[in-house]
Amino acid sequence: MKFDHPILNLKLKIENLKLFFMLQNIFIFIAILAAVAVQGSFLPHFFSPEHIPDLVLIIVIFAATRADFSRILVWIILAGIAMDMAYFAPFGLNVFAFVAIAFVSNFLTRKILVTHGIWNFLTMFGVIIAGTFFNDWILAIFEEIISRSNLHYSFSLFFGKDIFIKVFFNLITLGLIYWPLKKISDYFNLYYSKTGAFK
Amino acid sequence: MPKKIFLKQLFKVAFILTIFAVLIVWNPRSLFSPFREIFARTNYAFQKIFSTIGGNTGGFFDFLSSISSLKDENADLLKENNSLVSQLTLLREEKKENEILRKQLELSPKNKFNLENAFVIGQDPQRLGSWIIIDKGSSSGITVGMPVIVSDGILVGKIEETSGISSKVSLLTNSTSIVNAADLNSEARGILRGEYGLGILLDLVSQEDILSNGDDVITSGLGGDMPRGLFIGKIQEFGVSSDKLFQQAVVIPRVKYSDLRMVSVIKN
Repeated sequence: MKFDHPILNLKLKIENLKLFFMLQNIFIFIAILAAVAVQGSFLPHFFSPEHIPDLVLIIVIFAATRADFSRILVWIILAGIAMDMAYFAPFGLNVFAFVAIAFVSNFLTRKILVTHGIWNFLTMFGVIIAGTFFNDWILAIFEEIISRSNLHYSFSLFFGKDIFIKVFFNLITLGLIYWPLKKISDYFNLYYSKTGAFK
Repeated sequence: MPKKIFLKQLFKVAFILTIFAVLIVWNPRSLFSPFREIFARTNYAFQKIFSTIGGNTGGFFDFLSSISSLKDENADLLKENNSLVSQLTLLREEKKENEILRKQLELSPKNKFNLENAFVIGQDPQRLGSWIIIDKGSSSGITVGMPVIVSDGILVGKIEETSGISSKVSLLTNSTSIVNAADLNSEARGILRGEYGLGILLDLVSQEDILSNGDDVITSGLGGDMPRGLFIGKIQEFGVSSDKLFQQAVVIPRVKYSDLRMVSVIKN
């Protein structure tokens, strides 16, 4: 539909834009819920509990390395709350881990300034490895604080062999979902132009 | 990125992290119960769908991977079946004897459990402990502390938290799980506790009691929170505790907790 009057056309564009953002928000909300359910209800059928890939974390890191941090912060918090609520975790545990990791990921990728193609994918590999370790450590430390109220640091708590297997599975998961996620984020214009940001 | 904007963002993130760190340590579960309820209901459909799809797909892959071991497994099962048939005959005799003795002692028949069957719709996806989520909650009469069993008598854990339509079951392997247990053969009593998702340990068994490898471990019923006689597993190995005061035994559960699809909650 097109009007002759420029103001009416502008209004129509704004309405379309509003509708687009509303649909985008609904899509992201459903995608978060689905990812949370896949991680806790689908993947455990194929992996032992300590090796289940951190699907939601991978999506959070993907978004943080490609989008403006302040634009996705609310969604990251929501993803963390969804994880905490759906799996009876202490409120805020996953929010803390996701926000901290997303912020560092966002900062590092902007420093490295990789824009396109295979290098972007490889940079993501590095960020996922570091993110998996940090996520595991944050959860382990808070779990120790909550359950015992005295920290019990040990080498195995931070560098057990399971964490390396988990990193491996996380990388495979990234390989599987990277291109579909890229297509979706491009479609929703979530793509963050590093050169154009924070001008 | 200009330094000013970066510092503003850093301050914002630090503020958010501080707030959530306080909430984690404070852990006011009751305060967030209504939110948890809303989220549980919103996510319930997704969990159920993906759990069903995962169960069916995982079952198919399990079947494919088990084909090679089917022959050996079949031979073992036939052997076990023969042994069970002979045991069954003996038990029938004992059942008759038991009924006669109960009549003579004027004891009421052993109560049947009031069971609530539930599907497993989620498992621990991180390293936060050893637990599962089931699709029945407080609206089905489930409350915290109720025992959760499979196959009409094998204990797998107890209810730790409930929402209206789902519940969190803390498995016996969870480090916070503590159950009063006994060795069925020697009547040695102890405390059964989880070992950080890795296994189960029968602890605080007196030095005078006799433990043997392969003995069955059941709930002792002490404390009143669990009925007596729920089967837990078999003793794999035993020894003296590090302080030399008690005996300890590693118990191998009868069921593989990661393969649980359906469980029953004992409501009475």
